[in-house]
Amino acid sequence: MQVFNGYIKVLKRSIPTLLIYVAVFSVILIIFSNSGGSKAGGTFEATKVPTAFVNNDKDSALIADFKEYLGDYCEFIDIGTDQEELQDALFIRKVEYIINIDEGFEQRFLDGKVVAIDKRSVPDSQNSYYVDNAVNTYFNTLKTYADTMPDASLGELCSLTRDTLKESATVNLVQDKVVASATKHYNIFFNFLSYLFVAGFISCIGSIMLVFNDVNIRRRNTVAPISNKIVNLQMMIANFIFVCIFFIIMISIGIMLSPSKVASFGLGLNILNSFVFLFSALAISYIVGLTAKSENVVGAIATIVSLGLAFLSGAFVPQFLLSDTVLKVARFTPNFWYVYTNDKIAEITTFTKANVSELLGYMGIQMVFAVALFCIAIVISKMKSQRTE
Amino acid sequence: MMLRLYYMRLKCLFRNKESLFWSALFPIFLSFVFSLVFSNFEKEEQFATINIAIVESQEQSYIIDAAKEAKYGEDTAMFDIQQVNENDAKDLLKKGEITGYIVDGEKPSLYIGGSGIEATILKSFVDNYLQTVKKISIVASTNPEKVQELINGSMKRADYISDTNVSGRAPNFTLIYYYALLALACLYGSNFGITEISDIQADKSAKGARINVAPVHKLKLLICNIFAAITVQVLCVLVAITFMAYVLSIDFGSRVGLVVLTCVLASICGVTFGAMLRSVLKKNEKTVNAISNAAVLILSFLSGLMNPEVKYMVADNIPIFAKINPANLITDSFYYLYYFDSLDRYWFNIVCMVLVTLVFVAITYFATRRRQYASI
Repeated sequence: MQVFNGYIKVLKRSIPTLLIYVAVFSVILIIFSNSGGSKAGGTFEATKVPTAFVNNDKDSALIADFKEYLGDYCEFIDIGTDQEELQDALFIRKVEYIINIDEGFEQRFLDGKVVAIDKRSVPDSQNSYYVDNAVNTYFNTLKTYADTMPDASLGELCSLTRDTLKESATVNLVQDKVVASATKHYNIFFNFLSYLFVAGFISCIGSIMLVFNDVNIRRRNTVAPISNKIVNLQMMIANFIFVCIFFIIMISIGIMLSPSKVASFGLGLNILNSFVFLFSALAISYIVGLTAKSENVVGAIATIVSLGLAFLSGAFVPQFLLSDTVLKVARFTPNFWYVYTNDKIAEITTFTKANVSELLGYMGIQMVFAVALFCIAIVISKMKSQRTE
Repeated sequence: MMLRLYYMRLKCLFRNKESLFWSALFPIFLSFVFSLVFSNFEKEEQFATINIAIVESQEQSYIIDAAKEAKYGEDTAMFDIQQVNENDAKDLLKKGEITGYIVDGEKPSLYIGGSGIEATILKSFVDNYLQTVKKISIVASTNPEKVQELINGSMKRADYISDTNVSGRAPNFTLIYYYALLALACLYGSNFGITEISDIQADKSAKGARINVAPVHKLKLLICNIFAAITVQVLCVLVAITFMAYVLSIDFGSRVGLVVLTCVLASICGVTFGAMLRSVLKKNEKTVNAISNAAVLILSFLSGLMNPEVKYMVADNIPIFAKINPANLITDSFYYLYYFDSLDRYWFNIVCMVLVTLVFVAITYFATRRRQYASI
């Protein structure tokens, strides 16, 4: 057990380093989980969009009614009328949508001319599509009534429009609301965990392995009367224990942050999935530990590999937003399958034998990656021991 | 003399090919990954067909017709419809095979499994259908002869919105990722800063001990070395920016000179940050490296590297921190150059960055001056 003890000694000396990484990653995890993950989540209870409404068509009953209608979708914020100030406000996201209505809008609309309101918004934002839709629905409905009822007054048309637009589908959620929000939280959390595992393991294990892979130390160990196999085995056990502790800490943080502390089958599957992914991350950090030459390099590789894999696999940006080419390439990484499995777990509300075995299949793919990566690590280790430096 | 020291140090730094390689490669590789990831954002929203079920539909059901007709753009059908009974539909929903099901009737109602973009689309479809039905019934009761015209026209929807963007620059979400990445790359110069201070301090490295014995004024040497480190870091960042601007076509605005100035100041900030950390912390090099990497990562995270929402969260809740965080200052400087025509905000940011750098320099100076070692 000498190698194991040696590992523990190195670990003890590196404790400040490891604790710093664990602390920093925990903080990042907490903040990221609270920021609600990606903006493209698309929740059902849409919050009101902060909007600036600049009306140059004063005393227009139509616009007044329109603004009242929009009040259900927007929270109006008064920024004034200066264009620079409005641009500013859009940039710092004090408002996400700016509406500018030109003078004479109402008259042109009633005359049947082509009209449009000027808008500026944060592009590609869920909220701006939401408001776009609300605006268009209002005017299209009003136009329909105006065309089919030419004798009605503006006031009548507006109130008819508002009445009609009050019609909305009664929505029944099959899944309990609290459970749904917990599921979403776990989805974001476990996806982010894939980044943390890779970054944390490469930084911590990479730096410990660097000590053991120093040329002189390695040579001394090779001469020692312990077989290579045993040395590697003891190192792997020591690494595994370390990553298990890391795993337990991160999962506990995740559960503490969740809006509902109920243990569900989905959560169990998520934890199992992360545990399977652990092996791939461990194998990657092993390879880095074997090939890196200095601390700086370990740090740089940790950042590059972890961020690169996280972005490509859909941990930060949801998979449905990624292009097909990226997804094709990403299929060759274990991260992709991990995130894919997590997303699938989040979609299912009742677990049957069929979908669970499908999920276990994806986890199996991750294990195949882990085994392949470990084989690469062993090959590199053998090559290094045979090279004369 | 100083020039000679500067050149010597440059040569030393360029010899360390591995560090240099990673410093320059890292922003290039990551920005390339970003460009792949965001390539789909530029295209129109591409939605997949949504799986739904419709229950208890009558012979002539308008909602099924409407659902079959619904399309994204020209050819992708919006829905893939199964007609089943209620129990089967509930089953399918729980298994995640459909997004939701509609129960047909006088007034159709909607059952969905959770939230998400597909559920939102389904809900707006049903809302739209209900509103159209109401429209038709109102028109039928007042002007029945217009009903057919209405039904024919109800599929068309005019666009009442004209998207205007001042000077063609829209607030672009994806640019924050790139700028935050550049900020991370500039702050990575802290590694150089750490090495410089290590090599000067006799109690921190053997090289430091040798240098302290040499007849060179320590401050002079430190300044030359730091300048050499800054030069190398600036070169790495400029290579990265050139790649991003020309190969990936990232928009930095038209004021190239100011972009370069930002790079230089940002690199100085990064190197002095590392120097400050090393001179203040008494631990061994490995720990300080870890602290610097972790600190740089968390600062970049808080300026929007992994999710721009975090940046806005910080700016809303702790605005002071947003103005002290070097990564945030760098990210914002690039963004102001891109987005705004006037340079007021930009210069204010630059001044903050310079102040922060001066604080780092002052701390480094006071921590390293007049160090004499009785015994090492």
